[in-house]
Amino acid sequence: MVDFVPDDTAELRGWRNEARQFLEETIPGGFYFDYDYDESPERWAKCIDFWQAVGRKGWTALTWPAAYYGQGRSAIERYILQEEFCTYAAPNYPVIGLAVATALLRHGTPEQKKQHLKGIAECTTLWGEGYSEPGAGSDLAALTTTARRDGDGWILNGQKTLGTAAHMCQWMMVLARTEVGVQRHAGISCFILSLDLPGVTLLPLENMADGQQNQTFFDNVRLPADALLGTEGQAWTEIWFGQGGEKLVAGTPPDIWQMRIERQLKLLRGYCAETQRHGAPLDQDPVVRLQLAELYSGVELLKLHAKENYAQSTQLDWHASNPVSPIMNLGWFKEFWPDFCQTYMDILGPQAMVAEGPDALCNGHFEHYFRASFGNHAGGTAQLKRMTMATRGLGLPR
Amino acid sequence: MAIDLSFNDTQTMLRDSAREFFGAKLPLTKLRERTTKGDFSEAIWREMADLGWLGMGLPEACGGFACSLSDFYAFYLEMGRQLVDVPHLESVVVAGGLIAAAGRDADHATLAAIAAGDTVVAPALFEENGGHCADDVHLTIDGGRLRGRKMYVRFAGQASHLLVAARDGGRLALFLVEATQPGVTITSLPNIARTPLYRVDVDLLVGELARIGGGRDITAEFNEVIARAAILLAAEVAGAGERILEFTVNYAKERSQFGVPIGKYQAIQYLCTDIALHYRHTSLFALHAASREGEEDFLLRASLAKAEACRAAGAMTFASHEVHAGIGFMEDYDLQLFTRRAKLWENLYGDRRAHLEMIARLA
Ligand SMILES: Cc1cc2nc3c(=O)[nH]c(=O)nc-3n(C[C@H](O)[C@H](O)[C@H](O)COP(=O)(O)OP(=O)(O)OC[C@H]3O[C@@H](n4cnc5c(N)ncnc54)[C@H](O)[C@@H]3O)c2cc1C
Repeated sequence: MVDFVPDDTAELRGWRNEARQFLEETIPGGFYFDYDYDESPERWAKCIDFWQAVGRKGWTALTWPAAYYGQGRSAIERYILQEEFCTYAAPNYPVIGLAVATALLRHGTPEQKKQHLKGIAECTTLWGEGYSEPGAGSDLAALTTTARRDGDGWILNGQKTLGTAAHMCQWMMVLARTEVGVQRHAGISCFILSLDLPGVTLLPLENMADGQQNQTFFDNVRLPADALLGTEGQAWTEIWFGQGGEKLVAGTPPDIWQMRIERQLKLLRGYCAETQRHGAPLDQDPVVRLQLAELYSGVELLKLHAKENYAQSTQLDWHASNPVSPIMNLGWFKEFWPDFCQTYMDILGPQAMVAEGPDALCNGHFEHYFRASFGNHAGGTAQLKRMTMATRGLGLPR
Repeated sequence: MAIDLSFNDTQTMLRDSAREFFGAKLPLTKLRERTTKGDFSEAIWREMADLGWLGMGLPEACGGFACSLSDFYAFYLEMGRQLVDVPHLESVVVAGGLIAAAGRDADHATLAAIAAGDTVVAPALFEENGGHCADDVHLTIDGGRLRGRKMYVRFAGQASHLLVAARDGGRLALFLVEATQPGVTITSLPNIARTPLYRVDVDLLVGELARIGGGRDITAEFNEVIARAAILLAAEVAGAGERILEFTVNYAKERSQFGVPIGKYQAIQYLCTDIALHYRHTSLFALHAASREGEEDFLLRASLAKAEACRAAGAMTFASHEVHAGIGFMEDYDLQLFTRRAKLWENLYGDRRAHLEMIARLA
């Protein structure tokens, strides 16, 4: 049966209400914060406070097994919770802890799960991602950071780059080569390590939207045996594909990061309704009306993609008829986002240039979000998403 | 006359000396430093005066020299290429141009001071409606009292004078007032382009001496000068585009992923050629418009150039970001300086929509 409504039972509607009520109490009015584009210590602290409150509810670990701090709840409950977080403008879970948790749950040893999942569920330990290197961005398999066996542990050497908020994190998940000279994708392993270890240094990379990425240098960093996550040499399929890497992975709930755009659209529509230009509300201007309609339909598509992805994770026949769809939402978002921002800047006119002070529109949100849209490459470029759609999805030659 | 798009000696000389001067004196690193140091460097301004550049297009009697719009174009290509942020367009082209076109002999002293670099005039023309046409001016002069708000006034914080456009009954009028005096409130507008922009609130009694151009309506002169400014901004976009194209293509050749230079991928080739198209379209329109000064279709040509420049400014920087991916998003990389400035180019002296309206009306 075709049904786009996630909360089609009284129980699920109650769950949505519970989530909404929690948000209203914890971050009244919503709390806009994107860790990629914000260095304010106060807002970072508030974001962490928020996720610690979510953690106390047990909701970060909602679908995890009870043995590992979870509640074993259903995917649809997670979907609904996430949808509420999106519409209420909650901050994203800071950095990549949730991805680390997924990898730990799938590939970690019982000891690793015990050691690390609690800190992620409670948001007391923040995790950064050390994948990209100066020579290995889209072509991640070109990475040259090495981990060499040393007794029962490892010695790590190399350089990572563009690590979001690594300076705020205590731990990092790192991909490194454990076998040199083998075929590109083989011989890559995943390590989890404390950034306090001797030999780890960070260099800041400020981005053009007020946030910070980092270079991370590993100089003979001695790793214990239990730093290896998953099978030695198998990180490409276990970790990278598991995270959506080059594979078409279904089942992702709507992403707060993507759904920021919906909040921005609401602000924009509110502004255009209230603001007079040439004697009429801006949203009645014949050109602006249509621009707003385009933006609205683009955002609706993002939401439908999220639903499609969810459906796909549970209904296999849908997948078969839409081989490209799992990655479409990301691809679409990466292309739509800068376009969305350029369009609203055009609508808003010169005042949208003003970044702060009483003359800035919506405290400069529009201006800032426009700058942030050039960070659309985080997690892989639009071109690479297209390539993945074309080759893995449509079966076109590589 | 044949079709000939090459620069003459004057234009070549202007372009080359501007490239040399700005390249040496105002490298992009200086732009990054400036934030705390006022609107612009007085020392550079002096040197520009000594080179004669502040007299471009102003009457010879005032220390200026004749300068066609095509000559200006050659100079402004370099200003854009180097993201030069000094009040040349404001003080010399717009204020100087308006005073020269609308003023009387008595105003020659002001023009001489502009050409000498002693006076810097910030045109305070546009308002909260963001429009760039004579009709968009609503600030009034009534019984000698100039009162209202001007927006996006570039360099007002360091200008000695403001040239304020006002409605005097049905007519458009201009007043030259000192920038630092009671009744003039100048408020900084920190902005994406990191260029010195200001809100200017005036509530002043002004004498008739402050009026430029006697009592007549100066709409025609106003439109002409604004069109010139729009073309020169398009020239800046073209100059910037040339540079964006150079560094983007170089990057696409140098950066390898999957064992080949990324420039080998058609996705990247499309992006690079997008930049090339936008840059050439803008420069063709601007060059053509500049050559039409004084002709009947001048305003139309100006709008074609600026409308295209507005689109190109956003599109070229976007395409360059796509090619650079992660590294281009970083503050240390020069691309972001162009991305920020693009927003100013898109909005100053008429945005794309306003110029498309003009094209629709005039074509
Ligand atoms: C805000 C931000 C946060 C980030 N955070 C992290 C982080 O926390 N941890 C981490 O490890 N990394 C992080 N990254 C890095 C990110 O994963 C890379 O930027 C991304 O994978 C692209 O790599 P690159 O920047 O090296 O670009 P390149 O791979 O050098 O790409 C340059 C251009 O070439 C194109 N290209 C490359 N290969 C092909 C091909 N085969 N066909 C067609 N076109 C191609 C690309 O699409 C792009 O247009 C972050 C990046 C950003 C912008």
